[in-house]
Amino acid sequence: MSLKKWINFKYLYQNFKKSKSLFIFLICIVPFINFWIIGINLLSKNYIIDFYELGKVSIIIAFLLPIIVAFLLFGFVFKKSAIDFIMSKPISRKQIFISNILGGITYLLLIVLINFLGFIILSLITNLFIPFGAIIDYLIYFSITYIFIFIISVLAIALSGNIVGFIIIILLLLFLYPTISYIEYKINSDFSNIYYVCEDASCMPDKNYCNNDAECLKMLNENNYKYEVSLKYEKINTTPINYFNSGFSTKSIIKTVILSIIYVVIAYYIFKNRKMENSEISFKNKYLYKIIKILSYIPITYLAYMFYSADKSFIIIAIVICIVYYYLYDIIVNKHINKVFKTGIEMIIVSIIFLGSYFIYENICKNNDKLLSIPNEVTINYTDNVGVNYDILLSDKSLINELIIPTKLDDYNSTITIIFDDLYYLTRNINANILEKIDNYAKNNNLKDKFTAKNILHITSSLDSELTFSNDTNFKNEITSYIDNYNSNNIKYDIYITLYKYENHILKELMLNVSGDKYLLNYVKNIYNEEFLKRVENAYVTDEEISEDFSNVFIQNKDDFISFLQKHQHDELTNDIIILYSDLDRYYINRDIFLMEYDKYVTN
Amino acid sequence: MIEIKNLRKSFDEATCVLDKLSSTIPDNVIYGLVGANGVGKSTLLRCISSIYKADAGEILIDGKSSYDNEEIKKEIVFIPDDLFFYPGYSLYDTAKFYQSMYERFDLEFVINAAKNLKLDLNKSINTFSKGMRRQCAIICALATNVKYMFFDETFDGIDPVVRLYFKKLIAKQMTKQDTTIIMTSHNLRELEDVCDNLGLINDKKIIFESDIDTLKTDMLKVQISLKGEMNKNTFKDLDVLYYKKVGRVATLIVKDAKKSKKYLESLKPIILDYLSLTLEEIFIYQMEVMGYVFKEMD
Repeated sequence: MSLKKWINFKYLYQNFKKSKSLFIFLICIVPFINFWIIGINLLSKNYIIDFYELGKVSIIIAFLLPIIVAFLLFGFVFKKSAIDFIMSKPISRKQIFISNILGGITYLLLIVLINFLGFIILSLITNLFIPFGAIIDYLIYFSITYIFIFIISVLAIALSGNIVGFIIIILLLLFLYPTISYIEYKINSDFSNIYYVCEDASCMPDKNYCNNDAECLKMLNENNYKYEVSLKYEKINTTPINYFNSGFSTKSIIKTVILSIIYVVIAYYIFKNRKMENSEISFKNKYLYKIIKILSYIPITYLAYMFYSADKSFIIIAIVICIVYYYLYDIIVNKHINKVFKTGIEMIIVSIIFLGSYFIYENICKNNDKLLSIPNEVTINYTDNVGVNYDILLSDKSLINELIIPTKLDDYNSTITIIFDDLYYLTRNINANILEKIDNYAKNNNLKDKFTAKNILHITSSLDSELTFSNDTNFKNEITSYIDNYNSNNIKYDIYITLYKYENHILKELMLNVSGDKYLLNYVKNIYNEEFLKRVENAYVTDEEISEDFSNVFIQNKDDFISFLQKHQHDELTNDIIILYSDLDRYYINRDIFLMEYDKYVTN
Repeated sequence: MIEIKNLRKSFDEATCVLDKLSSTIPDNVIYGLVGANGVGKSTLLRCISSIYKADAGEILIDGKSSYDNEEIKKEIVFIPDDLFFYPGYSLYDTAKFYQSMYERFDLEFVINAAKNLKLDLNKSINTFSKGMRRQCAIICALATNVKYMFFDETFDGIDPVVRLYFKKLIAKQMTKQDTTIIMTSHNLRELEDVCDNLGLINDKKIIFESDIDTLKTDMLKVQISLKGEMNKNTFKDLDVLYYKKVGRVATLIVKDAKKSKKYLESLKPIILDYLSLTLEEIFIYQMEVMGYVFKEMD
C-alpha cells in the first residue's frame, strides 16, 4: 500500500507554506508564552513544579492553538473560490483530509515537544525542581489534548459552512456535554439520600450512625444503607479543561484518545461527503441548523434556571436571557430573524421542555433515593499513625464499604479522602480501628514502600499556626517575635524535612519532623544554610528546647534520619539533592555530600 | 472523451440547477458552453472537475468516473470565474504550486508568458488587477499541459489585445497536445472564433449542441424581394426559422443552405442578398425553433 495514496506531501507542504508566517509565529510564541509565564514567573519563587504547574498555560493555549491550526489547514472550505482552487487539483478528498490531519497533528506535537524539551532544559539550568515524571505526563497529556481539540475543530469545520457555524459547533462539542454533566452533577450533588447495596456482612455500619432513628435502623436491618454521597461523579470532568483541574487522569486520557478516534472517523466521512457548494453559509441544512440551535440553547436555559433557582425574583432576568439568546442566535448565524412570531412560539416550547426538565429532574429525582453499587476500587488519601500521608489504591471491597459508611461523629480521630475514578473526592471521618485496617492493608500490599522509591529531600521550616510567613514579610523579625512568644507561652516549634516524589501522576510529599535533632539543626545552620539560618537565628534549637515534649516527632534523632537516607541512597533518585528551603530561598546540596559532611560535623 | 449521463445537481430542495443533463464532448475540441446567467454552466464545470458531487447520473472521463478520482484529476485543470490565489503568493509561487500538483507542468512556459504579458513574476498576485489575475490563472492552467482544461468565463476582465494573445495560446495548446477545452461564457461572440463546438445550456440541461462549422454553413440569412406578392407561404418548401417582412423586402433565416439557395434563386427575385449570420443569431433562432422564445423588451 502506497503512502502517497493517503498523504500528498506536496499539497501539505504548500498548505503550510501559504500560512508559513503564522505557523512560524505560533511555534515561536506559544513556547515563549509558556516559558515566560511558567518559567520566568516561577524562578522568582521557590516552587517545586508538578504537572498542574507545568500545564496551566498550555491548557489555555489548548483551546486556541489547535483551533487556529485546524482553521489554517482546513479553512479553505469556508470560501467558495478557495474550494474551487483546492478541490479541482489532482488530490482526492481522502488525501486532503489525511494530509491535513497528519500535518496538523505533527505541527501540534512539535510545539508540545518544544515545551517538553524546554521544561527539561529549565529543570537542568534553573533552581526549579521539575520531576521528570511530570514532564513526561505533560508530554502525554498535552499531545493528546491538542490532538483532541484539533480533531474536534476539524469535525466542526466539516459540519459547518462558515466561521460562525464553526465556532458554534466547537463550543458545543467542547462544552455541551460537560455542561450537561455539570447540571447533572449539581442536581445530584444535592441528593441527601443515597442507598448503597451492602454485599456482605462486613459493611454493616455501626447502629450508632442511625442515632436511634427508627427508619434508619429499619434500613440497616434490611441491608439498605443510607449515606450522604452522590455518585454521579463518573460523568464529570470529561473534557481536558475539567480533568486538567483534577490532575493527570489515565482514565480521562484513555477516554479522550477513544473519543478522538471516533471524532476523526466521523470527521473523515463527513468531509469526504461534504457538499462543497454549502460553503459561506452557516448551516445549509435547516434541520442541522435547528438541532445546533437547540443544543446550544441548553446551557443558556440552564443559566436562566440557575438564576431562577438562586432567587425567584430573577425570573425576569432568566426570561430575558432566553429571549435574547434565541433571537440573537438567528441574527448571528443566519444574518436575519426568520419569522419572529414563529421563532417566539418555538422558543417557548423549547424553553418549557428544558426548564421543565430541570425542574422535574431536580424536584422529583431529589426526593427519590438512589440505589448504587459500591465501587470495586478507590484511591484513598490518608495519614498513617505516625503522621505520614499516603495515596493508596484500595481494592478490598469490605474495607471500601467501611470507609464509605460514616462512623458516629464522636468516634472518629482521623480523616481520609476517598477518590473515585481519580476524579471525585469524598472526605470521610474514620476511627482508629479503620485507620489500622488501612495501614495493615497498605503494608500487606507493599503500598507504603512504593512511596519512598523516588524522592528528593526538601528541608523546610514550618511553624505553628500562630505564625504565617510570606515572601514579603520580614522573616527574621517574625521568627524573633515568634521565639519571644515561644518562650513566654511555651509553644512548640518544629522543623520538618519534606521528601517529594512524583508517582502515579501526583506530586506526593512526606514530611518528617526533625525538630528533636539538635545536631541536624546545628549542622544545617553551620554548614549549608547560612542565609536561611541568618533568618532563623533566634530560632536556634538548644539542648533545653530539645528536651521539650515533642509528641509529633517522627524522626526522633539523627540516627533515624541518617538511616533513612542511607536506606535509600541507592534509589534512582530524580535529583540527588537535598534542598534547604526557607520561605524566601532554597539551597541545593548533594545527598552524598550531605551525609559525609554531617558525619564529620557530628564527629567533631 | 467526456461523457455526461443524466446528470442531476440541486443545491437544495427548491433549487435544482441541472437535471437529466447528458452530453458527449469528444477529444481534442474546444467546446463552448453558453447560456444565460445562473443556468448552471459553472455548476456543470464544477461537477466535471469533481468539486461538486452529482446528486444523480454520472460523468465519465476517458471511461472512468471523475468524482474524487485522483488519477483522472491529474488530467484536469479548472479555472473558475471567481479566482483564488494563496495569500501573498506571487505568480512564480503559484506556478511552483501548480508544478507540485501537475507532472507535466512547464515552468518555462509561465516565465515566457509572464515576460510577454509584462507580469511581474515575483509580485504578490493579490496586488494585481482583476484582468492580470486572470492572466496568471490562465497561464498556469495552460502550463499544466493536461488533457482537459475547463475555463469558466474565460476572458472575463481581459483586454482585447491580451484576449487575442490567449486565443492564440489556446489554439497552440490544441495543436501541441490533444487537449479538450471547455469554455463557458454568456457572450457568444467571445467564443465564436475560438470554439469548435458549442452547447447551449438552458432549463437544467444542454438543449442544443453542434459544431460551429455545421451551424454556420447550414444556416442562411437572406434578404429577398419578389416581383409579385409574397408572404411566409411563398417559402413553405424551405425550412424557415425566421421570417419578417418590411415593405417589399423579406428577411429570412433558413436551414439547409444549399437547397435553400437553389430554391430562392429559382424564384427570380428582384433583390437577393445573402447576409452573414452571427453565432448569437443562430442560437437565438435555433432556440426559437425549439420552443424557447424570448420575449422582446418593451
